[in-house]
Amino acid sequence: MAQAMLQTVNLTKNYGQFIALKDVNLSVQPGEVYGFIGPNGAGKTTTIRVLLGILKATKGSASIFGRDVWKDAVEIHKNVAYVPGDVNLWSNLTGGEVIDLFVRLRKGKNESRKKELIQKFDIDPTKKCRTYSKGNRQKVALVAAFSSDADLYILDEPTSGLDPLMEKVFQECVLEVKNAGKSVFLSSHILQEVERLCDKVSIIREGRIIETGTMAELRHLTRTSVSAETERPIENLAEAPGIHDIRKSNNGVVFAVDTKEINSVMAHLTKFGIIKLECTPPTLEELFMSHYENIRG
Amino acid sequence: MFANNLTLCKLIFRRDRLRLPVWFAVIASLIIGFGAALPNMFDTPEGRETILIMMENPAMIAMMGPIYLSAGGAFSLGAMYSLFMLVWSAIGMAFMNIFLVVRHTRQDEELGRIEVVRSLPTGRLANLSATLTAAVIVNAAFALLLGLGLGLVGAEDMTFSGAMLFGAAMGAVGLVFAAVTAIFCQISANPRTASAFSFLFLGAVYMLRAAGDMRGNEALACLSPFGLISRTKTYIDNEWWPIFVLLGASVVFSAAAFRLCAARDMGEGLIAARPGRRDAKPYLKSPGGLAWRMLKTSFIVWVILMPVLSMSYGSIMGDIDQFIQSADFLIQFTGGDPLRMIGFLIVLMSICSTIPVLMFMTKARAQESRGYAEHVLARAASRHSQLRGYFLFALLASVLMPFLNCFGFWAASLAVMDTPFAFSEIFNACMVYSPAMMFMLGMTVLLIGYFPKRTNLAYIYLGYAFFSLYLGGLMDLPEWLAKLSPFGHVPVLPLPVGAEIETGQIVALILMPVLGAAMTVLGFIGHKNRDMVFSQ
Ligand SMILES: Nc1ncnc2c1ncn2[C@@H]1O[C@H](COP(=O)(O)OP(=O)(O)OP(=O)(O)O)[C@@H](O)[C@H]1O
Ligand SMILES: [Mg+2]
Repeated sequence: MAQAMLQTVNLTKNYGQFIALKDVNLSVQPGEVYGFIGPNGAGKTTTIRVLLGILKATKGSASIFGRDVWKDAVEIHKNVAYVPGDVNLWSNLTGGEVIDLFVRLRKGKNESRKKELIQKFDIDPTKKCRTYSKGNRQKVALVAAFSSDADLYILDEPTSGLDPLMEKVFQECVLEVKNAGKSVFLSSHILQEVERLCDKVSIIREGRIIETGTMAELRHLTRTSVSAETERPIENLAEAPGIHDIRKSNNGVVFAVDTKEINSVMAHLTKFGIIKLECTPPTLEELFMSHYENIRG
Repeated sequence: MFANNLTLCKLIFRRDRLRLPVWFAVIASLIIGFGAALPNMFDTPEGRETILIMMENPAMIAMMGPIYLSAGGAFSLGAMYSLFMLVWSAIGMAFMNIFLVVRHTRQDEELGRIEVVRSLPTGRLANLSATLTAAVIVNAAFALLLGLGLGLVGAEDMTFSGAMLFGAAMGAVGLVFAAVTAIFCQISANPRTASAFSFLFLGAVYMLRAAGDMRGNEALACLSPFGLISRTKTYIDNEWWPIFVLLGASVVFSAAAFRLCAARDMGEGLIAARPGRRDAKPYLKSPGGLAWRMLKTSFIVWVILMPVLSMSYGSIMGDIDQFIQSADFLIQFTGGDPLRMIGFLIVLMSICSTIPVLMFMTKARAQESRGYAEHVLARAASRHSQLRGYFLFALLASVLMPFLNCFGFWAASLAVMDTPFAFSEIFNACMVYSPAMMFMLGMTVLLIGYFPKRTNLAYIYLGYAFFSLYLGGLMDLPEWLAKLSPFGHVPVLPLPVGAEIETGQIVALILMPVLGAAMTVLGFIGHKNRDMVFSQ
């Protein structure tokens, strides 16, 4: 296996007594778009700040491009682009000035790309940052990140302030860098976004990684929701294995099924003459929910 | 058009329920406090005569206003009070009103609050009229309370009717500025330009008054609200006509503001906002360049302000002997020695010019806590480079500011003294504080490195230095209290004849920059090895 772009081994971070991260293990391969999801306060931002050498790990190790994130921060950052979760910008600089500053601080320079992105993200670079909304500040940071030519893009909830149109632009940008063979580490709690973009996902909760895998691997844990209309009423549905949440709809029935049991359930349904069948693939939302249910018992 | 005016007005008072009392406390403590203190400070007519002599020059008249004397030509306490306080208290009132009106009109509009309000059944002019109504109430209350307060504390020749007139003058000036600010809020497209125009107006009418009073041109001075209130001759003739002129003017200006408000669109100004830079200037490409960009404005302001301040303090060197004799506490403080007085002025200015040194350095910490430094550090910039720019500017200030003091004092001594000081004398007296400033700077870096949330302790320490020296001289406190701050170890120059610098002081002068450098190094190391701290 090629050297990982980003790797953490038993990464632990305490804020005084409070354990914010506990034995976090991550590994992002070249060309991978890696999703990092978790609820508020799970430790996403903390992880990312450790990865950028802004916070110092309490225990464990973290490396990017095979180098130590704390000691070699400056070297590493020459090839990393970053968008923080809370984008705070100098109130007396204009958006254009900030973008230039950011790009120059990485010694990269790409005027045409910058212009193109400013247009795509639809920001007015002549306005002072204090007049920007949260979303607009985020767009400024995104333009700066994507106009840099980096090998690894670290993005902390980059779309939390964007409208759907801009989210789409953002996704295009991610796919573009992915196609160029770059790696992306994307934290989010917008699950559809992670689902659409990411090859691999880690779920973090209360500072611990509770699940890691490819989208395909994680789906086996999940349920598919099915809505079916049959000629005859379905019998003994509740007894079939892996069935949950049965509800009557207008002409039929709606239920959820553990994805691994779907075959047997379909076989069961055909006995009653299927008129209409709709299967919705599991979203990460549901994955998340089922995971919490499992934890709660 | 005016519907719901009252509800909105109540909302303004609710939102400012803390701010307004604080403004009142500050302004009232100055006005009433000085009114109470003045009779004790200058209790003899002779003492007041000396002050009068000092005030009777064009520079002072330009600063304070024209001098009016009581019948019989005496410089009464009341005359002295109104000369010192009328114009400057009015400036305080102007500040308060500018902030009040901008906050509740233009700023709310920018934050989108007014949009919400306007979608309710409120009139188009409701917000402006509510704000101006609030301004009328606030200024009337201030006028009444300040007048009453001053009337209760004044000495015998500070009459109650004079005090009420003083209060009324404050209220009337306040209203004029509220109305003028309301006009600028309609013209400009955002709160910053509205404030900028309003303060520019304040500066302009102050200058107008200064020019008019200096040349004895009544008409010119009366074009300015500040000139008009001097014409009330408070405590002397108690003229009320300027108050009515000011009230009339605020009605006219308010009407104009309403006209303009009705004519413009929500969120727009009559003149469009000037767009900022599309691209960054070439120097904005490194942490150091960014530091300069952050400090530029305040750097320039301090470079202009320091020599002006030291020059105006230094201007008393001309009549320094009389000045000391004018008040008992000054005699006690200086032991009657003018050189000690001058030495004290230089200490004062040196402590004052340490403020920019600390400010430039603590700016680095502010960048961190506001989350700006994160952007820089996440790019190819080291921890050191993030601090370095601010440190170098602060270091520059620790040499440049004393030099500017020196320049100011020297220029003043040339202008007002019969036998001015030699440049080298003043140069030494001012520059000798540079090592102490370097020590303070080192300490600030140390705090940033190890106690980032306690960086403001540096200012508290500076405040301690000031009080230990000031009160120490005034109250015969033990000497070691002053020695706890670096400024207590600096020899006060120019030396009286026959005195010499102690060896201990020379050692201190060498040691302070060395210790400062050591703390700086430690601070940089601490900063490199710690977490970035985002909270205050
Ligand atoms: N400086 C700090 N001192 C103490 N606790 C902190 C500090 N910063 C973060 N925490 C705590 O650490 C935990 C993880 O915070 P973090 O910001 O990493 O969460 P997050 O996953 O990014 O959440 P969000 O989705 O809200 O951004 C939270 O419980 C937070 O309260
Ligand atoms: Mg976060």
